[in-house]
Amino acid sequence: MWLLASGVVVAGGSGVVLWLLRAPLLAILLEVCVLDHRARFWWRVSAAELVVGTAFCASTSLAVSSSTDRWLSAVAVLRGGYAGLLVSIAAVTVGTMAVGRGAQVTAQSADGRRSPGS
Amino acid sequence: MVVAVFAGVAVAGLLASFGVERMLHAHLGRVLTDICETDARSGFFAAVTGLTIVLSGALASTATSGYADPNAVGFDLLSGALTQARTVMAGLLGVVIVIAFLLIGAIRRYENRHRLLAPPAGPMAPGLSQDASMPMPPALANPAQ
Repeated sequence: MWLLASGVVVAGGSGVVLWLLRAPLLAILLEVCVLDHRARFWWRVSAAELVVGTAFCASTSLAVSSSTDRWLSAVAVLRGGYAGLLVSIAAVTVGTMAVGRGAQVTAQSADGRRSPGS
Repeated sequence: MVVAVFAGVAVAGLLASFGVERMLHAHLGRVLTDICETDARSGFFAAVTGLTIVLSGALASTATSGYADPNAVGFDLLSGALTQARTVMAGLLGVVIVIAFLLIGAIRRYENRHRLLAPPAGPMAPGLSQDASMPMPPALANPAQ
């Protein structure tokens, strides 16, 4: 019962994070990728990474937890889920920043090729 | 009893992290609008920062290290609750400090970039008025006369 409740809380938390991140992440991905279908593809990849990363961290935390109390095991699942969400958000942010920087460098070098005298 | 106290402190920690996020939200949005060049970027980083603050508070509020005895009452229970509250405060303080340091680095990079892009301020050419609204003497404005 405790484990089920903590699993529901972690799943709900990842759903809320996805809902909150959807619009800003799609906007920045559209800016970086230019084309709509590419932005939507990378949004799907980010969402899958966030959900799977959170579930993986929650289950790992339960496996590592050595507590015999059920409520402590449930808290360990919660802790793992929150840590997984944080790590997944950091991974998505770092990936977006790296791709954005790469796109900026490509655009600058294309500008340089277009006007070599400047 | 231990579970009820733990849950109460955890909910209070979650509310505190929401409060910190709400307190910083508007100011952070303005700073990020300055630093980031587009609205999409500033919106994304504002969302990520808010989520990081709330999730860090939530993560810190799941600390169970203070509750060594599952049947604790009285002072032991209070001590466990205080340990949990202390962990929440340390987590919130840590995430705010990390965000502040990241922002300081970003602001410094932004200012350096704009200093490099700005035209160098050279000496004024003779005959040019420093202030456009200030009328120039006729002899200087038209030296042929």
